[in-house]
Amino acid sequence: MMRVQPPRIAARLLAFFTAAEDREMVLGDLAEEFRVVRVPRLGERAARRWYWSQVVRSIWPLFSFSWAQEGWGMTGLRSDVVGALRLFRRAPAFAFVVVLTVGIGVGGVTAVFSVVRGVVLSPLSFQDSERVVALWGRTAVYPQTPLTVGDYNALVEGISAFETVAGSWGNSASLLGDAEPEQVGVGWVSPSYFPLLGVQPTLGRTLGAEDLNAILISHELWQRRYGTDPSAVGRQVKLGGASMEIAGVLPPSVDPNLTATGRHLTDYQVWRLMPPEWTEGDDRSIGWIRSAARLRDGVTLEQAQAEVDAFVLRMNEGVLERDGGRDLRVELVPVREDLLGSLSRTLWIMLGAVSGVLLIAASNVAHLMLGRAEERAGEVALRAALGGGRTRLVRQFVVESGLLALAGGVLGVGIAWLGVSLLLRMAPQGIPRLETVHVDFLVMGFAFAATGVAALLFGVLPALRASRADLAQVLGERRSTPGRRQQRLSSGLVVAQVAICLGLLAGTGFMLRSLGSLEAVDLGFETESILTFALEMSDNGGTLGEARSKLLAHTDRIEAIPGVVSAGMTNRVPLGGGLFTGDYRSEDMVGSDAEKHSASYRIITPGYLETMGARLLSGRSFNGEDGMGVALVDQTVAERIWPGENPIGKRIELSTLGEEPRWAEVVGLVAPMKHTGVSIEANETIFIPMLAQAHQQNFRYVAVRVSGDPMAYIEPVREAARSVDATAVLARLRPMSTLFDDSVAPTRFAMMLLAIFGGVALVLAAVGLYGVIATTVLRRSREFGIRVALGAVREHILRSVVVSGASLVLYGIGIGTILSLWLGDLLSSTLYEVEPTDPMALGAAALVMGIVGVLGAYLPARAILGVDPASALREE
Amino acid sequence: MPWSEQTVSKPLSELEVLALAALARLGPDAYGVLIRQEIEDRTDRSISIGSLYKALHRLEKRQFVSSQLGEPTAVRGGRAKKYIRLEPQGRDALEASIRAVFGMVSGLDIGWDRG
Repeated sequence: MMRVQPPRIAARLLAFFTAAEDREMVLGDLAEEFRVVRVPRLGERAARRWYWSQVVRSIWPLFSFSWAQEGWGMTGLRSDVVGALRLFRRAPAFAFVVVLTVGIGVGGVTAVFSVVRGVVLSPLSFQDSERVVALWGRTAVYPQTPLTVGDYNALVEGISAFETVAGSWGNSASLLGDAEPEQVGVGWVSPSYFPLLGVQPTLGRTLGAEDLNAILISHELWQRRYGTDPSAVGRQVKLGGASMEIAGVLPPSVDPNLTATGRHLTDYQVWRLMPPEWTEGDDRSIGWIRSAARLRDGVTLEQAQAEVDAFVLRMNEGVLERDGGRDLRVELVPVREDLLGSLSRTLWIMLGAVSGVLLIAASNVAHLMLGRAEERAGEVALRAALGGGRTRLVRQFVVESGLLALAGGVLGVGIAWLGVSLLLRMAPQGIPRLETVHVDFLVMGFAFAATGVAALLFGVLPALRASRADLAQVLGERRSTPGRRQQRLSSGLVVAQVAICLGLLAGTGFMLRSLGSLEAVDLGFETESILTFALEMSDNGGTLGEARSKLLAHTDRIEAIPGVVSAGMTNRVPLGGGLFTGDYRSEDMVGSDAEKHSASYRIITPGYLETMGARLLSGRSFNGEDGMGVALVDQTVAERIWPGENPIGKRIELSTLGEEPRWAEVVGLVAPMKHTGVSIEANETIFIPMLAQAHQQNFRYVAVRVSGDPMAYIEPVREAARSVDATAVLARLRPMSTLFDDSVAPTRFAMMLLAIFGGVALVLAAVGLYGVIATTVLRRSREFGIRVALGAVREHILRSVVVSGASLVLYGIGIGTILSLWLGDLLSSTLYEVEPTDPMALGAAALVMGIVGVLGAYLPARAILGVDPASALREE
Repeated sequence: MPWSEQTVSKPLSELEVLALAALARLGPDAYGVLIRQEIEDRTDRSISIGSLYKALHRLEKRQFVSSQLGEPTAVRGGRAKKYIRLEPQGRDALEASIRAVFGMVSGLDIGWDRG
């Protein structure tokens, strides 16, 4: 029985919180009761639990007691705290640097963590969102496509792993009847849509299966347009010309993002049911239903995917023709992933990067503490010799670092709070869910956990070292050079800092190069001085002739505005999202079995290409008289079907789904335009004249080239449009430069963050190196003094110190390069035309690090060695 | 008058009352383990060792109890006992406290006598 030991860690913990004079009886009593009473009575395991519970319950009384006791010997925690505070008052610069360093580290980590939490970690605001998957079709032609009616219905019927399947589609329409006409995004959804999300209106009712003349509106629209008036529910409005009843209001900040296409967030303000006949039958001529499913309980994603794969494979055998091809595969993508895409990866990398900054900060502080511990080695050894227990000494150090960490943590929360509001302000459009980002208790908890880790890192290590010191050794050591172990630890910290810092700098370099290539990219059109907007009209104007003259009237009126250079229309504005695709083939291909190629179709008016600054390589652009018999092609189309030949005058067969193929003569060749994205290769594009089918035109975007700021033309342009058609609505007014900026924003944002972290890391690493070199030189000042006195040239000593510092930096750069390559690999999906091994970025990072590193070694060495050697000797 | 000067200036806490009573029962050989055992056996309450020592410290400061270090024993991991003895002032304070409680509850008919 005697051999049973109380839990050691618990005993240590208790000893830590108990004043020295009480330790005997408290620990002794507990040990006695443990052995004599508890173990025989409860058994060893339960007795150990009992011991732990005693310790945990005793911590607060003992702690608060020692704090509250007046004049109760300077042995308790209180005296440690008082001692620490006194110390900080004596060395305010030291305390300031430590607190600031910890604050920056903790603040940065916390700020980025709050973004990660809001965007990536917090659940989507509908029921069990992790069980909801988006269903995307994939064929050889389409990397990601909505489903066709036939495939959608087959999945609804055939998959047992799905509890519910819902479909949706979106467009925009003008909302009239009760206030100013306004263009709103409309989500057309299946009746299963809201049950699948588990979202209920906060006001009004849900849409029943037959509620085709009722709509739900977003909380935001309700606030903005109706001033949160509850009587808005039940009101009759006109939506796209049809009379509708407002049935209900959705809760705030719901993200029914199932209606998102790919990475493009849609911002619907109004939801209505699709007419049932839209989704009836087995038509597979066009994929348009954005689909989602809720997995049945207990079914894993893998199981569901396997069932869908097998099912679709069987189904494909019976399908003769389908939009995109017969080789369909349906992918189940968890909605969160669907929504965030590569963003979550980027954010995690950012969190990793900023944790690197925290590590550097912590190791810097550890080093500062080591330095101080060493300065106080004499005091410590003396205290130990006079009977101060080791635990007491360790506690003193831990309390000091704990207080510093706490102050740093508080500062960190402040920095995080500032950082988050800055991040939110600078974040690009199109990062989903940023509205959920804020600093709250959980984030603060994280900050303090980060602080705690930092405190442990920089407090306990020096504490354990210092407490090991014995008097003779310390007093002896002061006369010689510092111990090897001490030296190794400091050097290790510097190498680690340089390595982490280099990684961050290289990451910044990669992103910078990437951004450079993005901005230098040849878009095939210009982005400055162009205003674009969607022009929505309640009707096209009846006959072709009427519709035509209406469109021309619009462009004419706009062009008449002073300062407007030209104007043109298109069905889709570049970089604005949306695709309209069709097939094409040359005359030569008709005879052979060759599959048709697919291309993006742009329907444009005369003047559009000129307005956009697109380049006509040969032939001519459209004029007002062109009919459906002519077309323009871009270079990629020409090279594919007529390589090396002049395309002008050749005939091309054009076919879009739902229309008979027809032949057109190519009259002009256009340089490739990057319609889909700055970093995406230009798709093959065919241009057809809008005026020739003006009466069938559903999508109209206007591009206006102006002199001066495009935003200044919004009102004149709106007036011009209204003067042609009073019901005209202008939506999505954006300068072309904004579309471009949005397109490169994620890269710019990532780069900016990395640059900030890299800069902070650089400063911290420089401070760290400075500190290490300074303490090394100080420690050896006696030796140097003697050497100088014996005739050594000061420059030689200086050089040897700088060389030893520089070799540390070199080691760090070596390790950091490996780190950078690994980081580059992680970043590669966000890089554009930059290899993750880019020697320019790596070299520049190493160069900056090297220069800062050598300066960090040289400056303190010179400053200290400049001191008269005799005074260094006298100091001892 | 049931109030002694000490109790007027600062009444005993419940734990202090329990500790003083335990000391009165245990006599001069009382020390931590026995005190806690006594309280636990008689009240079914588990007192943490930290709270008990906090209470004993306060009582010692008010001179209600005194303490004396004993011999280290093996069963205690080589640590010494600290014997706690009830002083006369402590006995008075305890009595005053109990009287105060009795004074308040006597005559109340709430069926406690069954216990």
